[in-house]
Amino acid sequence: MLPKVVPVNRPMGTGKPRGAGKPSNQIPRKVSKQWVPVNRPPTVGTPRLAGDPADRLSDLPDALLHHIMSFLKAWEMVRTCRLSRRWRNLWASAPCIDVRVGLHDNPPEEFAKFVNRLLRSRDALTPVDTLRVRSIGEDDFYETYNDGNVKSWIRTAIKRKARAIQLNGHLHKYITLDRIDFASCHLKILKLSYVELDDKVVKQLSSRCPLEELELKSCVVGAHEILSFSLKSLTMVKCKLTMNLSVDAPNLMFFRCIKPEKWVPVFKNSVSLIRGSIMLDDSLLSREFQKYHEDEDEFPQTSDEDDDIDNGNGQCNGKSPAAAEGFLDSILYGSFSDYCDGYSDDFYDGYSDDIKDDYDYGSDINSDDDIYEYSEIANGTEDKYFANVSEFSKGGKNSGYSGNYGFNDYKTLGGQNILCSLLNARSIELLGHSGESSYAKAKQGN
Amino acid sequence: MATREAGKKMIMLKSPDGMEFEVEEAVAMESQTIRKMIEDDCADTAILIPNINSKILSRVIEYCNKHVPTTGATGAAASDTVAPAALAEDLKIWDAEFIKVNRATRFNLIQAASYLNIKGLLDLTSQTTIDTISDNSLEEIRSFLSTKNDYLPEEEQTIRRENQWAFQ
Repeated sequence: MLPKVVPVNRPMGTGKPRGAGKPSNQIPRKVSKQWVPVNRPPTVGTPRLAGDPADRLSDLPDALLHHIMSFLKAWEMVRTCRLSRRWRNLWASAPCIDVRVGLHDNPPEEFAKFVNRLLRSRDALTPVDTLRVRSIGEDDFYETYNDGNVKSWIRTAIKRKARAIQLNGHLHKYITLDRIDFASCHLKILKLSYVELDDKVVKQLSSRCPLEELELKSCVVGAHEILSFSLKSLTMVKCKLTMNLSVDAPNLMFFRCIKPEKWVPVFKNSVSLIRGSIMLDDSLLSREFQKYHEDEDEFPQTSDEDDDIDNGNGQCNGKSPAAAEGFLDSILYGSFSDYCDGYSDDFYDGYSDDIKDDYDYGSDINSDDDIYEYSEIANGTEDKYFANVSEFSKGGKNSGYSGNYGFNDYKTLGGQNILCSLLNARSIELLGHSGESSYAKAKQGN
Repeated sequence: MATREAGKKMIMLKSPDGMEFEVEEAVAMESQTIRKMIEDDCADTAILIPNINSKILSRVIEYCNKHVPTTGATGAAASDTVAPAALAEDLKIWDAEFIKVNRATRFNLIQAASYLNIKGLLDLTSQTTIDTISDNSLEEIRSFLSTKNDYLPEEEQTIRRENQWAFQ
């Protein structure tokens, strides 16, 4: 299965079809949905390869079967051992363990025992690449494990070199991450929902593991700072920030912040940002800020800039055009993207799906009940258009912010600061409702 | 379509049974394997795809052609961002239709997706394989997977006993 490179003077195909021997760079006469070969009319029957060896799933290599098994729940995965000899021990080295019990699942009755046994019995040399786990809710009928079990499984997975961990909590019963040591040189992806994170956990995640992707959905975040050099993607959907959170991640490329509560994260060092999507509620674009800017009739970008330089801390004090009245009353969905870079392809599906990455084992890590589709987000905008798109764009163009920003606490409550701190994104796109592109701007040559 | 092709680099993909498919470079590069070949300059205008017959290769190209991002490398792509949710929904429906194939074809597609390293297609085919087996008896699953039971009866008893913990 090694990639085989063909010499330029490639041999002609075996069964030479009619009209063969065309130069290879010739434009095809017709492009059809059927994708017929250019050197043979579609009516000719396709010759079968001798033996057609891929008839049977069992003939696939272990890695492929493991990939297929990553779509199974853990107990189903173990049960495949009864299929045939080929499958007997496959589960023991499967790198992905999904122990999330769904409503229609039929898991072993003594579930905690089962998972413990699974973790104990599987091949000790094979890392647990991915662990997906759901904490127990209050009204669940399958109360055969508890939060303590969940935490111990996560600890085990981290010890077994887990690269990706997904933990889903419950709406009425948030799970905390105390007594878990996230120090690991393998953990790269962490996806949490309905989880409470305190300062200590966030510090650990920031500095003790090479985390590249952090996704928080409906989480309570009580931390002052995310300071990470490895973080590339940060998603916060409907998270409640109990204190002023600053994000200092110089390698952050992808950022999505949908409807934060109470506080809005503040960005420092967002130099690598390629794409950011932000949606704020009215409450965060608060009245105090409007008062604060009452004496500002215009948007004095130039003087603003001077201030920044003068006071030395690069303070972006909310004189940003986003503070324009009217804008304050709209819900914002903004998107900062980069078309000049190859990454934009990878992140293009950011609206409708979570970030997909090459190192993701199995796609299902993205699939849980808490995914917010773009349409949901768009529907939440109450059909409001931007009143002041042009003002914003004007300001965005003229204010030449770059580099770091410092913020005083009392000013960071305002949602406009998040925009302010992201102004150095290389291109900006603002969306009105239903995904309609109201305004797009590419800030070239930055 | 004709205008779209103008100015785009075309790549010739050859199946081992002698068929040639001409596709846009961007479409071919949906495959990470081919992307690597192109980026490493290992590929001229034609690439032989070993082990994948023309029937499967044409399906794979069909998939790649549908899934190639509509955004181009130019700034003009902004207008393409209209209603990405609808786009994703459309793709989902298309995928569901696309994967309605017989077992042998699906297994061949799995192999092809794996060799060509097309994650979306690999996930789609794997998920579909799993979907077909849930809620079925062992015999049915064996038949869905084209897996022959090669256990001796006593062996089967042993396996069952050994792994009882996973069967309640």
